[in-house]
Amino acid sequence: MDILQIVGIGLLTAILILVIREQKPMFAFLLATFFGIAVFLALIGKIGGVVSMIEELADRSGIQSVYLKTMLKIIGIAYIAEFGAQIVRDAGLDSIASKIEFAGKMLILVMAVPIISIIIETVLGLLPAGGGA
Amino acid sequence: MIEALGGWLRQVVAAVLLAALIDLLLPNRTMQRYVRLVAGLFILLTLAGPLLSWIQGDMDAKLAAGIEWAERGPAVGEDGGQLEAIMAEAKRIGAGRDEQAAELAVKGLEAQIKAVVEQEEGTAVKTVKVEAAPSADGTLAVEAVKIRLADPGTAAAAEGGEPVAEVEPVAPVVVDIDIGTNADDGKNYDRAAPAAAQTDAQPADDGLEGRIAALVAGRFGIGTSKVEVDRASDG
Repeated sequence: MDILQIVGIGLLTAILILVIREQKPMFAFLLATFFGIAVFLALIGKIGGVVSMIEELADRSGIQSVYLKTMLKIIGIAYIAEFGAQIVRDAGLDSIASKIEFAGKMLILVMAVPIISIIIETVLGLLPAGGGA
Repeated sequence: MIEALGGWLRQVVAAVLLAALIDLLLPNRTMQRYVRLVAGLFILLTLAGPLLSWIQGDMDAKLAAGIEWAERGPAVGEDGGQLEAIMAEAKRIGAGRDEQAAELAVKGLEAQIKAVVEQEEGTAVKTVKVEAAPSADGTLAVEAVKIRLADPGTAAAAEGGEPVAEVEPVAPVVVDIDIGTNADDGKNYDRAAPAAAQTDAQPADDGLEGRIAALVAGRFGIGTSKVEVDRASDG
């Protein structure tokens, strides 16, 4: 039922935006933003359920919690960056949207730095003349 | 072995499943390459986990610290480096202080054991050596106590029950002798008994070590097996 509600509100918002955009483009942008936030807030409980399920799965399989935390952070960064970029793109500012996406990509890559450093350290340590790491 | 292998396999499967799930959850394709890179690295890390922890023991801690840095480091910048340096310095100083405190505690315990043994058993103690090591929960635990008693000959010459001998003249209970002659023998005998015991105590040293060990164990809560008592052979 939730999906029907969300689709209904989405259609309504789209019609409203189309009507308002002619008169006040600013309010159209605000309406789109509010709709996005409302959908996000409506689904936050379900996201929490999915996350707790994944956490339980990871806990049972003995996977390190650091991995799971990092993965969830990556998903969060990806979603937030995407959300922000789309809102800005809706406002007609593609360049700003691409900057937001770039920031998201960089933050995701920063998450990989410790893993890469550990792997490189290990490989250097394995080599006989690896500088005594 | 099989258990560890099973655990490792389970971790690998879980990491792959997690990566697939995250790939599925991604909002669009722009981030896909980057997320795949990180997920692939995680799978690689899980696959090589046993090898990594074999080569560098504290891999998990290092990884956790690295991720902490990745979240905070770039934003904090130089201050973070300074803070880290200060924290490291504080840890070093704290460790030095702990070591000093442990040394002091050991010295104090040695002095107390020496005083108690000398007071309770009346034997001269040459040295007391306490070996303590930090236990798993960070507290100091006594590993062994070595008590070296002074040579009995010198000990007897030094102290040897002389105070007791001096007491004897102070007991002119001879006054009682006038009252009852029958009881006198018993009393005389009783009075002689401690003196005899005192003189006997020096040769009968077989139980002295055990007694001292039990005394130290009971007084300081140290296991009897950890207390070692011996005699100084060279005076």
